[in-house]
Amino acid sequence: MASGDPARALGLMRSRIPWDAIRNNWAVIAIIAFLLFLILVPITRLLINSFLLGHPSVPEGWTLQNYTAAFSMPIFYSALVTTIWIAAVGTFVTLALAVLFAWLIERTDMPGRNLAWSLILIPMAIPGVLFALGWTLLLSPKIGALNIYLRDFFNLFGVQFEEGPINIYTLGGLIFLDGLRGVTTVFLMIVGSFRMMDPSLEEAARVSKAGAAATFFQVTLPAMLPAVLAAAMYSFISSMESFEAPLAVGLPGNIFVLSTLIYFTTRIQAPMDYGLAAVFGVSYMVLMVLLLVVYRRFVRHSDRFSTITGKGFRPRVTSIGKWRYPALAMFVLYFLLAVVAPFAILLWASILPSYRVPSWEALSLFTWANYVEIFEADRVLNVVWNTVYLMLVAATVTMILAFVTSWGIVRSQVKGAGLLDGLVFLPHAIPGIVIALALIMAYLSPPLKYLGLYGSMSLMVMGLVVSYVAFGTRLMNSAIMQVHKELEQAAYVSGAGTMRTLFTITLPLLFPAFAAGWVWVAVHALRSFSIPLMLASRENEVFAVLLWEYWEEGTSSLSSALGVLMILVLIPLTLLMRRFIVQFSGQQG
Amino acid sequence: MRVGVTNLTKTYDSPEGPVEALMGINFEIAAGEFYTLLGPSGCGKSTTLRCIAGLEHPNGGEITIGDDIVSTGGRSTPPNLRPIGMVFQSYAIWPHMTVFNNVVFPLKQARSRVPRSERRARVMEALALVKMEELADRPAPHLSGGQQQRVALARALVSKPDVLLLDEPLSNLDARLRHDLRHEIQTLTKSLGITTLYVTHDQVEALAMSDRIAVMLDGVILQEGSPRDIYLRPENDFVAGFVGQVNFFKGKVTEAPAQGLGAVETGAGRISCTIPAGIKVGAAVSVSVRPESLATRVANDAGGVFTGNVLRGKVTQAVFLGDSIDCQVEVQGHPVRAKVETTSRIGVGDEVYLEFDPSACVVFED
Repeated sequence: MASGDPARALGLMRSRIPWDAIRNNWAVIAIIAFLLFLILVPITRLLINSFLLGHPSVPEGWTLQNYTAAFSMPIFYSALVTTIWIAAVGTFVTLALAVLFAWLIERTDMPGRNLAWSLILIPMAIPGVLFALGWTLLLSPKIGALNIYLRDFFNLFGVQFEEGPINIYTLGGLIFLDGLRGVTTVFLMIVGSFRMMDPSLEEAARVSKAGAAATFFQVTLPAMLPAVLAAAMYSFISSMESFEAPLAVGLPGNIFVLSTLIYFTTRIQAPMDYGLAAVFGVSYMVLMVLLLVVYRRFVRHSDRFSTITGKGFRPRVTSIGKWRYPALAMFVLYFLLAVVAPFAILLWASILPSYRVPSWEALSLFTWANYVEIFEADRVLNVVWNTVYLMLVAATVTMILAFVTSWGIVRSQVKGAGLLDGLVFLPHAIPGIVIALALIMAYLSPPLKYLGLYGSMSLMVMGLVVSYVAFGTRLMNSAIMQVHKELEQAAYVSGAGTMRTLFTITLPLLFPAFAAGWVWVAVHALRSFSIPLMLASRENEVFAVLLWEYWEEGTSSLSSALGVLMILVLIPLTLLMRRFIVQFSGQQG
Repeated sequence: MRVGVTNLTKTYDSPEGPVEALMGINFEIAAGEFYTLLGPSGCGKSTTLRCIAGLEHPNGGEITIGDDIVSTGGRSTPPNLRPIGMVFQSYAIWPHMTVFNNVVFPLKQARSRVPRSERRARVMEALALVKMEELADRPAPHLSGGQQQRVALARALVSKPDVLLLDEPLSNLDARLRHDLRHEIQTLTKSLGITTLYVTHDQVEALAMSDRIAVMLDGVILQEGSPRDIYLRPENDFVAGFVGQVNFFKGKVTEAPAQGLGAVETGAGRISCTIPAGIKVGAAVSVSVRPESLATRVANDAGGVFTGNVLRGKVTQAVFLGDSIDCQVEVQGHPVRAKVETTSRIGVGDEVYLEFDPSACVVFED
């Protein structure tokens, strides 16, 4: 497939397509065509609109003006630099923490290692926007709870602060949030390598008189390097695409990254400038696709230097002696910052009539009123229904499209299967905000605007499908390869057509993988933020959007109550995915 | 129902360039006939069968089933619309279903749909054919290899297809089971009177089961005929060697009369045999004789009248096989293989006569 050398893959499959093959598989071809339509139409439209003047629905002619305007805007360059800087430093922090925890949990005698393995997954259950909102409640310079405690503390020594001392609405704040956020994913991507690494490599170092630290830095870490670098690259890409923290923390602090710049240009500033936004989107997309190409190269090389031998040995556990408890303390601190503190402050905010700094006297104001209000609000029922609908439909459509498309990619021997595989992987590199922008343009412009999908749930579903289909096809490709071809051929010679065979034989056989992918997409759809925020209209808001609206309206207690409910739903779902996440992380790219 | 294959060609693309898998295959299977494609792996036998099933698209030629043209000029009917049943080398029993659900599957499809009420009876009937009725409700993964093969056969037969296609169905079974199933399949197809195409690389299976055999090599059919013809009258040295063990004696024709026996002077001695028409005196030929056609006698035995060809040699190896002794005899520096009865006391080092009838010899021009 495309993960191999594309030129070779194409050369290999240079067999003609018999007309009968098309006739017998028309349904599969139609479904693949539909998926390509979903992916390629918005991207093409984005490119076209970057050369158009005026509003997408009433274009006023061709121009290069959008490009000259964008490239002469200082804010474009500063956003670009900020994006890269946050991603680079954030990834460095993420990587240091993730490598340390992977090693501590898999290869040392740190106390509570098994529990830590589960706890490190919990951050995935906290949507990025809630994580950021929690931290603004803790560290906003005036009313942030931690800042107030710190001021009180310094006051004891006679040091007075007007505000602060810590301000989350800064570049440092964004890097702090980004660094903490990515740890779980990177941990999952590298933990397998730590587990599977041949212990004799380390034993050889120990008998060669190297100490524990020397062994780690001179043997363990270099041996892990390919896996670690691939994970770093992946983490860097994710950070580059990040939207929630830059929105919640960056915008108030007047710090723009590429994703928030697009949001600002199309959703906040007046008048909206779609042409300019399209240029930002195109530049952003090109940058990310280039990064993805580099990443895929990386992953390919990492196979060659693999230290994983596949033998089922128990990894050797290194005793870290007196460092066991400091190591544990380090992990506990991480968990406090990544989960406990932001969740606790949201929980606190959700049980007070209006936000106050946590204290015993404030606790006497305890109330369920926010939760009651949420459940009594007319729109909430609607929002819950929309959210559930979005989850179910996005997950089902994504997985069915991915299943059929992967089947076509894996089973057909025609020229272009490798190219198709590359095309459906492409959206993996496109930030959610750009996908949303492209969809807006495509469905505001003629001829697609006549479908009247702008502002509908369908458009949101489309956005999520495009975002997650790359994941779905990766998963389905490997699952289909494990189903013996003759099982399908036996159905054909028994009289079943292609679609019938796909859904009565192939799908049931790989159902575990399909179901796992379905849950993965459903969870991500529930957490999704940038796409619904860009695409939702007043009538079809979803949970995440409502939460953001409450926040913007200043009703942080309602927003917090919604957030707490959301996290409580997401925690079990996340743990459900545990086994499977590990599998996928191992095969990223 | 009759199956006809005319000028079938198939080309695969590979990194090294196109590979011609089939180079003009022609044969016809009569209704009710058991026809076998025999050949080494890569000879195109499975590709031919898969073209007939519709699982491969031929590049050229024509395939007919009964009066229907199912494939011609690169266009073909999809497999689900052909009146066939097929058993795969891997059995391809669907592991997410029970035995019953595997077998009932063809009866639910448009081509061979049977009303719901009749399905159970039809499935049990098919399972009875392969003696699997008791296991109808067993999940497919809980079956042994032999049982899976029987289920696969029941599934192939349940829709009462016109043609049964068997793609190396016995190759994954152990020797004993292979032997039993060989007979069962042959008896079953004959009693049903179904037209059967069998593909195998095992000459014993081919000889034991078939009405007719086609021996294939490198995408062409080398020889087609009854098992007896193929074995006793191979048309070239590959066929001779592939369907059984054979000794080749290289030499020159010294006598080639129009009638009666001719003679070939070989390194092992003079051999009299029938020289096929068209081979002239002086031509370089190989004379082939199967080991079991050689009567072996210890050379110092008294008397005896030689009725045919006789070679004299020395036993260099004798391997006891149970039902026979496999001897290697050196005749004038040429190793010759002979099959000797177990009751014989011939051993290594013995001087022996190898006697064989001229009619046991087949001559090929080199």
